[in-house]
Amino acid sequence: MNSPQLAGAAALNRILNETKDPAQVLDKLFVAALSRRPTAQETQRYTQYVGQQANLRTGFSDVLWALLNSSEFGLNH
Amino acid sequence: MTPLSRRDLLKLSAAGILGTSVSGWFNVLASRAAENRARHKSCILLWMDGGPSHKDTFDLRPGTAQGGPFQAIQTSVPAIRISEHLPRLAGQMQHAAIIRSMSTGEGAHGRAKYYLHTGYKEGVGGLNYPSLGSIAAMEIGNPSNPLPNYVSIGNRSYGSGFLGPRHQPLNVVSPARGVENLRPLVDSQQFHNRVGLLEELEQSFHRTHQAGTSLAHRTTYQRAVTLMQDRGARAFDLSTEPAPARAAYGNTVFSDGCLLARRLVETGVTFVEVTLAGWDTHQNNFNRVRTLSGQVDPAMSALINDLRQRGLLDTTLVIWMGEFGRTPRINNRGAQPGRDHYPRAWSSVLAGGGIRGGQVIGRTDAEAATVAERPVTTLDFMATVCRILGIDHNKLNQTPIGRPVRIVDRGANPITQLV
Repeated sequence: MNSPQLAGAAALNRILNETKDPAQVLDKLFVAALSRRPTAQETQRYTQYVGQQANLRTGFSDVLWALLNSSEFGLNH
Repeated sequence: MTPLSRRDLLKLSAAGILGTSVSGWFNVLASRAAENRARHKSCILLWMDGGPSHKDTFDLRPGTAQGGPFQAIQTSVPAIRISEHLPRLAGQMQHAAIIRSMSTGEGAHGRAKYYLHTGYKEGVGGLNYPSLGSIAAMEIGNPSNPLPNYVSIGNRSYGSGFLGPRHQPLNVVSPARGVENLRPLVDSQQFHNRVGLLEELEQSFHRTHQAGTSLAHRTTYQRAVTLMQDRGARAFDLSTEPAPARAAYGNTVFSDGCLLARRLVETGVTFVEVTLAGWDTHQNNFNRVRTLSGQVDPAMSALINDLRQRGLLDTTLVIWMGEFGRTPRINNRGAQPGRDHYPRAWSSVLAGGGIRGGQVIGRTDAEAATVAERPVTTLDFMATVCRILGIDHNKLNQTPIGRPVRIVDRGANPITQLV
């Protein structure tokens, strides 16, 4: 959870190079991490969260960190 | 460009999810008992890996044919003499008891280490037995301490066996570097935000998935976050120790380990094991034992001194021991004389923990080759340590399938004159 690998910088860069639209980025992150799309509620919550951060990169890297450290990622195969 | 896949992320986090567990503290935090127990004693085990020569440390025979070149010196207790290469420790014998009649039967490193850590012979009964550190963590550890109650420095040591992951040791590879990955990569505000996001995710997931493993996962993360944010975790940062205090221990990995052990005990950790390897002196015994004694002497005496100054010596048992002693006869097979494995008669040292110091338990014969008085078996020794720490050595613990196993097996005869 504190390892540099988990920062996921390269993965996020790839996505942000393709699109900067929050909903689309979230779609890609969720599908990549959890093999599902975010629920409407999740999209709303994370879009709001990202909007409150200093910039898109920071916001989405926080979301990616949370996804990768979640029980759903670790256990739900 | 290929789309980012779940597999890519799994690869990324192979070093993340799994990497955290390799780093040591993940499993430890997996789950710990929630019930409260009163704070009990602590124990620091200085593990002399390889089997130190009793005849060149704490049970000398100077001037005899197989006695070797070392002289015995006076200690603070008139009747007790130890190696000239342990002068500072000699000044603290009033706090210590030497057991000179250890007789433990196992003469191969692996089996002897297992036996002296767990009190059970490896393989007997088809069980994986818990080591003393795990037993102490379970029986007298403070479950609400954010730090793990069993820390092993410089060695993987032996684990919790059938007691399960909650009592596994936290392994610290290098005391100067502390615990790896304990610091978040981002600033504390951002880390706080992330943990908040994670907690939201977890809540919705756990509403629909209430399995034990997912609860364990969540508990583990909560504990990890607690440890990262806990002030006690600063104990791992030796750079905050004043330079003269640190230097008193010496300037080696082992001395740093002893210092870290003191700092951990101060924050309430129950059991710390610090390993000093290199005692397997088949070759060049005397030079190597002199060098190793030069590491033990400042570190162990500074440790006892620091504990005493902090009022912790009466509640902290310090154990000095290895897996066996070494042959009373000198071997001249190599270029430099050596001594070989010898479990039949050897020495261990206990200090602090509320014992009556300044004693010698047991005695060996003129050659330090056989026990002449009060043999102390592995069971006797384990039961003695349990007694000092306030653990009922006859207590039955359950394996996961409900099989009752005594903390120390039947037949233990603990030393009574120490406590």
